[in-house]
Amino acid sequence: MYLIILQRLFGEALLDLVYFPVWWYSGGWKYAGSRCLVWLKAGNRTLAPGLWLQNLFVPMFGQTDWQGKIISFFMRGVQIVARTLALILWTIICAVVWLIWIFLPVIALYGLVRSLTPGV
Amino acid sequence: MLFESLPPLPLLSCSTCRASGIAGWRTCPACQGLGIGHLVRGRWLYWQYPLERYHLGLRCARRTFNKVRFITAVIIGLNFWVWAGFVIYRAIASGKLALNSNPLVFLGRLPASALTLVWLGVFIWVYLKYRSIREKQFVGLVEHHTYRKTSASERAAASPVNWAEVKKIPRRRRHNIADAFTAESLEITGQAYTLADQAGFNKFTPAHLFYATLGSNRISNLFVRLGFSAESIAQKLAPLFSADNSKTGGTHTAPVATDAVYQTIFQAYEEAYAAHQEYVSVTELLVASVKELPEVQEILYDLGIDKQKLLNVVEWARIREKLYRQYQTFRRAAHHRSTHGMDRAMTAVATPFLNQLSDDLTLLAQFGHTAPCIAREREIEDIFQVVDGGQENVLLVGDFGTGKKSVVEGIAERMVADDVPPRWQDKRLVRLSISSLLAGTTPAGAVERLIGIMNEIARAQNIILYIQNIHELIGVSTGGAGQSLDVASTLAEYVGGGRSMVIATTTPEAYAERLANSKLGTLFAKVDIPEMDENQAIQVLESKVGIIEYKQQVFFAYDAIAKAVALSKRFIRDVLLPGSALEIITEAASLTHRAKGANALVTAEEVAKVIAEKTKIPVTAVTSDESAKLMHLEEALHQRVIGQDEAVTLVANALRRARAEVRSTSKPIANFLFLGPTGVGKTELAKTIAEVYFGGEDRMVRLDMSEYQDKASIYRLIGAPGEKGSGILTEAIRRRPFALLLLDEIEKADKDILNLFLQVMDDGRLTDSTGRVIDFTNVILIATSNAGTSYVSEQLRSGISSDAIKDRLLHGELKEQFRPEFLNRFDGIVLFRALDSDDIKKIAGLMLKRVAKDLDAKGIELKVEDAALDFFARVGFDPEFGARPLRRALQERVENQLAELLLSKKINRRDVIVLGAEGCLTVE
Repeated sequence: MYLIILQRLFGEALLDLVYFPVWWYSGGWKYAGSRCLVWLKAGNRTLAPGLWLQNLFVPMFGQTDWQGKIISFFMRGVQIVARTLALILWTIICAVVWLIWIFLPVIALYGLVRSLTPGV
Repeated sequence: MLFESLPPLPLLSCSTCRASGIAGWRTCPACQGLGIGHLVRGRWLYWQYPLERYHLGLRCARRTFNKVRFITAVIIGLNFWVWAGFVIYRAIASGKLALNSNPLVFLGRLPASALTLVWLGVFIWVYLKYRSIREKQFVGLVEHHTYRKTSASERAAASPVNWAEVKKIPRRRRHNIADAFTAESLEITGQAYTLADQAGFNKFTPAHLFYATLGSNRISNLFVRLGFSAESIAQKLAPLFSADNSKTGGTHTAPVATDAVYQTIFQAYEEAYAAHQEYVSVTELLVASVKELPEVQEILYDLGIDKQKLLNVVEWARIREKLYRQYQTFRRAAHHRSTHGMDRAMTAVATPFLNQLSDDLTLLAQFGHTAPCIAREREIEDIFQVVDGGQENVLLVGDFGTGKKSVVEGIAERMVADDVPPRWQDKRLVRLSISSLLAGTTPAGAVERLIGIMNEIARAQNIILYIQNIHELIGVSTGGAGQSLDVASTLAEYVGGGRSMVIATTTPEAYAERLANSKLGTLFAKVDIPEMDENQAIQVLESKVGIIEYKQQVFFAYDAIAKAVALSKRFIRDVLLPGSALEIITEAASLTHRAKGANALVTAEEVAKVIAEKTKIPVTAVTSDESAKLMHLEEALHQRVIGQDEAVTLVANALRRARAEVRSTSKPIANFLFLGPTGVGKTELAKTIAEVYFGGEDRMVRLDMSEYQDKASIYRLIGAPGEKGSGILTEAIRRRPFALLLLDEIEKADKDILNLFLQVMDDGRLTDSTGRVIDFTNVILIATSNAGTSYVSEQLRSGISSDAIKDRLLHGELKEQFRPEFLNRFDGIVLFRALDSDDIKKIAGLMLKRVAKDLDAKGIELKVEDAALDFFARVGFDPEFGARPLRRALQERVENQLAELLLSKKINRRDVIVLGAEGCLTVE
């Protein structure tokens, strides 16, 4: 029985190697996408440019005098721009991570082939 | 409580593959690998985890193989990169590669072999990522528990009777329950099969499954909590296996899983579903296998483990897991919140003044300084609903120890995790410290501080104020009567303004007395926080016991917790559950640590000891010494009470019933009416009971009923309306719930007062003037009366039996004094017969013993001759007045003389005094 089990395990290991690229571009692709989406959501929650936009005309730190209102408006404007830019940057980072996931095996294969055929 | 046997599930099992789902090396064609299953909640639940030697071996080997594969891949990956580094190093050392060149040039000149190794390494790491994700990727969960009712079509859908029908069920409605089993529980199932296989059985039964679960750490801990080791249970199972006749003779074939095993597995899944568990863990396997095995139930029952105990201890394990998971989610959520008291849109205002006089509960919760709130979901939902309904201020009303603070902390935790309705989101819950508010200032200063605080809160807009014990603010006023400025009125002014949100707490008494009709009270919506029931309290204790265990380095048995809750509920009435029980287990842990050292088990006995020490009530298990004492209680009573055999036997029986807990717990321990002439030992017997059973004569609450001859005196007993703690009877029993209540000369009390005792004797409770219910279930009520004694004496003299006299008394003399319903409530009406001269002689002996004891303390010995006893029996005997003339005689003839001798220094230490005939005292 032990021999049969061993045979089967090696067979499965070989099949696993074949299945690995298939999974990478099917289930794995989805998995990486969902992870990146979670990071993106967390980034949006932390930076929250939408919430700042909603409160554009609300004075910051309860400063309701006219000076406070003007300063708040401009400060919020700056914050919204900065936060939006930061969120865009974060989105790009998440997208890059996802692209790395997609292209890494291809790049590795390309590099490997290139290194094995230096003259070509 | 015995375990209920579960109705069998209608499982459809494939006969071709014997429910394994595999025929030979392939998927079974008859059932398409579904093996065994049933239709429930509109889904086809099946078990696809073949319980066969080969497949279990394969799964076991696969686990090891995966580990080996992972480690090998890591080593190869590292090797590739180390070799690449080595090749690059050699190229640099030989001068083929210059380190100071442009990085791009440097990379372009790298040796081809190094690049090959680097890229191979990348491949290996990518493969490892694939393996780690695949292995961690969760496979399945127990269905989410829904409260929706099964639809008519689902109910009408009968479970399929053959595999052709099963195959028609769409794939999305098929659910392999093996996927919802944790790795450990699958491993245990496999181990159980291997156990049956190795021991030579040809059938795999639930008994093997139960035996295998005992090997799990989680189950072993669970039995430790029940006070037994898993090994001791395993040993008790041995006869079960030796009696099994399913062993094969000479040739051993692989065991076959019986239907009962599959029933157990599917029942374990149902257990997990009913308990809202995400996974089927070993605990569910244990419970299901016990329910399937009457023999194991018997073994557990013999060990004192019944169904409720097992289920509660399993629930304990679940609570710990749940708390851990909640904690992890909470930490993740808390991470996103600002620790500077600012909301996310930065509209809030800093509150420096408020911060000085308060604690930020949300901040404390964020840093993990609050305890989890258990079993109070309903109350928290009530509070949210009140606020959603438009009320901004909530008043939590509950007694001390019910967990009002815990509810508020629970809200703070939910606020941190953002698991609250929109009006509560992104806010701070701040506890105002009343002591800081009032400290070092006059009431006028406190009012000024409060105004400052309330203004800050109104400006900040992100603060919910929490005022603990709000009633403490009422009555703090400045100025004289008529022109005073009250702190509470100031608070009411701001709270009513609608610019702040306030949660406050108070007790029901303070609410009724100070808040209900005040301006402040009307501004709050009242939410009651009732005392927890026993099961809720057990859950709370189970959630808090971990911290106590860690601090004291001890472990709690389940019985200890259950007993702490049960006894606290019964005997500690000042603080309610769960506060009272929490106090008890904290003390029991420290007691156990001191007595048994670290890592000891806190049992029910330690808890009982703490309760006994606190309340002086004997609640510990009856020891053999005490048992012998109880069996000979009559002798102990007779040492102080002479004669009166009937009364002594009656009382002794009642006390034995009480100590062995064979009595109704909704009534007093016993209600007795002692009838008899004066001086025959009625009060003496009561005192003796207080001494023997309650531990001292001071445990007797004595009321002279002659003082309660008018109707108005009822208020002296239960307190005047509105005046807390003024009832003589109610206060005495509230402070000492375990006592003897002696109602002397009951016939002299007003009839309406007697009606008060009807309720005490029947229900064991009495409500005092402030509405507090006083518990009388741990008292022995004894009423004494002289009513009808002359009649009794006459009848006894004429030789009529005691029972006949009692019967006549009940229907005659006593009926004139007491109502029938009053007499009917006594457990025993005892006739104390008049004393004869023999009795008086014995009593004289007892009284003189007490005198001798007093003298002994002064170093003087008193010898009493028999002639002296005869003398006192003669002069002290009066059939009408009982033993009282004897006391007078002893006073006049012995004690007076002794006093004179002592004062005139005629007797000194080491002298011996002899009391002889005619009561003469001589000094030897």
